[in-house]
Amino acid sequence: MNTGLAELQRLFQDRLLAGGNDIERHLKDRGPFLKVYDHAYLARLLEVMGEDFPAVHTLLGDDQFGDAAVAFVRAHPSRARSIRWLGAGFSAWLREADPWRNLPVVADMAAFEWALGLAFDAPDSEPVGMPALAAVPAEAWPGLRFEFHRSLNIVRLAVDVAPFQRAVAAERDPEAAPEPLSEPGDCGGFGATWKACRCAIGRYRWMRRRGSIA
Amino acid sequence: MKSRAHNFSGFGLGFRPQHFPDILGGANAADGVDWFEIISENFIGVGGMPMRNLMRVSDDYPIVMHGVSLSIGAPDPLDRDYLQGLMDLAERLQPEVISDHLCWTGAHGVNLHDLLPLPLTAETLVHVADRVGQVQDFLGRRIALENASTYVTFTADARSEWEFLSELSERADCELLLDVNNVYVSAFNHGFDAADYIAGLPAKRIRQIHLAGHENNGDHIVDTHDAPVADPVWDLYRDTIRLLGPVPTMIERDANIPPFADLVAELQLAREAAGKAGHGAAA
Repeated sequence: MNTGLAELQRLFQDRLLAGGNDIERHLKDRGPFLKVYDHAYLARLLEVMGEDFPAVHTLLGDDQFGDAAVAFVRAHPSRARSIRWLGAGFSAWLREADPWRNLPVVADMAAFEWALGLAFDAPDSEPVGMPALAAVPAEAWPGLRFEFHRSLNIVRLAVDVAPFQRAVAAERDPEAAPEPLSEPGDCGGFGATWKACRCAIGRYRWMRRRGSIA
Repeated sequence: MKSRAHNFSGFGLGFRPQHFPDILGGANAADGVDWFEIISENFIGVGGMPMRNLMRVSDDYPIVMHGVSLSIGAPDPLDRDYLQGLMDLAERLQPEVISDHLCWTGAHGVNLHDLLPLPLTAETLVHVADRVGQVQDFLGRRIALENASTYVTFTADARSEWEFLSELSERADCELLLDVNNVYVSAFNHGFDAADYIAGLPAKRIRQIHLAGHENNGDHIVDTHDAPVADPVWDLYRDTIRLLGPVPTMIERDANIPPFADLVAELQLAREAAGKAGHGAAA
């Protein structure tokens, strides 16, 4: 009896996601080169994670980065059309998953690198300039709503990851491990806020302390 | 919206970020390249410098859009958002060809980001032809489907891949993107004659040709796109052009990417190969 297309695809996918063997009996000669697909799946995902998070990779080293990236893609198989978005949930996952949740520097670095990536290729939108604002009648001002440019991403960091990331991006050896930020004032010591902006790709600026943002 | 009056022909390369400075470096920067192919997914829903670079190159060169996520053989409904993204990009670029692969890339919402093989059955043929029809209706134009490299075949297979593609292209009224390296790779892995494959395809539907490098592991070959085109693939390409006549041809290089000038030089080999097959100038 022939097994239908959808069932064969279910078995094939189970092989790649969970190592299942049931697809083999539906392959000629039991698929001696099935290993090519086995290898390609994780190798491709690891390569992309390494490209998107080079400073996390440097911070952790090959083995630990590989462990983290594999565990992440096992926990969160990609659902996006473009592999560009594979790492979208990496920093959030690192904040929750053992043993990484005990190392906030790792999640912070991932969040920082992801925000820099978004700054690079986020969809275009036209910033509002002074002439456009000046043309808005005074009575309409109370109803105005502003949105940030889509390349702007704000991440809250507990660790000063920027110098380390900057060194990795410049292919230099980082001089020191990232240090926790001592955050005075209204941020309460748990973090600082950074902004990545398209105007200078790969750069970022201090924003005001949270308490002083209206 | 731009409109183009030229005929699509000649020899192209992939538009890869490593080569942006060479390609965009001023007049005649990309001499020797007649057109560029983009990976569609890299430019759907993005802006910034990558999109600006693409729009600049599209002012000067014909563009073809090559996708990896259409998942034409998948069990899930077609992703309308993705199709809309393709359409929006096509509106901006006016590409000569929109292509993807005969494959599936995941099921039940998951994307495995690989070009996975399909069982070559009547059921698959009906399924894929119906979906190609849906895509073409949505986009308002034909698409081209490429033969992917495969490393397994199914016990359920009821026809050869070239028979499948021939039937599919007639039934769905679509075009084909013939990857000559993939034919060579699959022929080696599965023990069929690459010449039979190419001779078995409907020549009039072949819109574009891909060439690429591979890795020979002794008992099997992997399509890696990380090396120059191999000699036996050049031989097969010459035979292909002899059979088909001139077909726009490009070299894909996605890893271990050499300087732009090296790829332009390799592309010249494709021109010469087509010339030796009697179709160099026209191709």
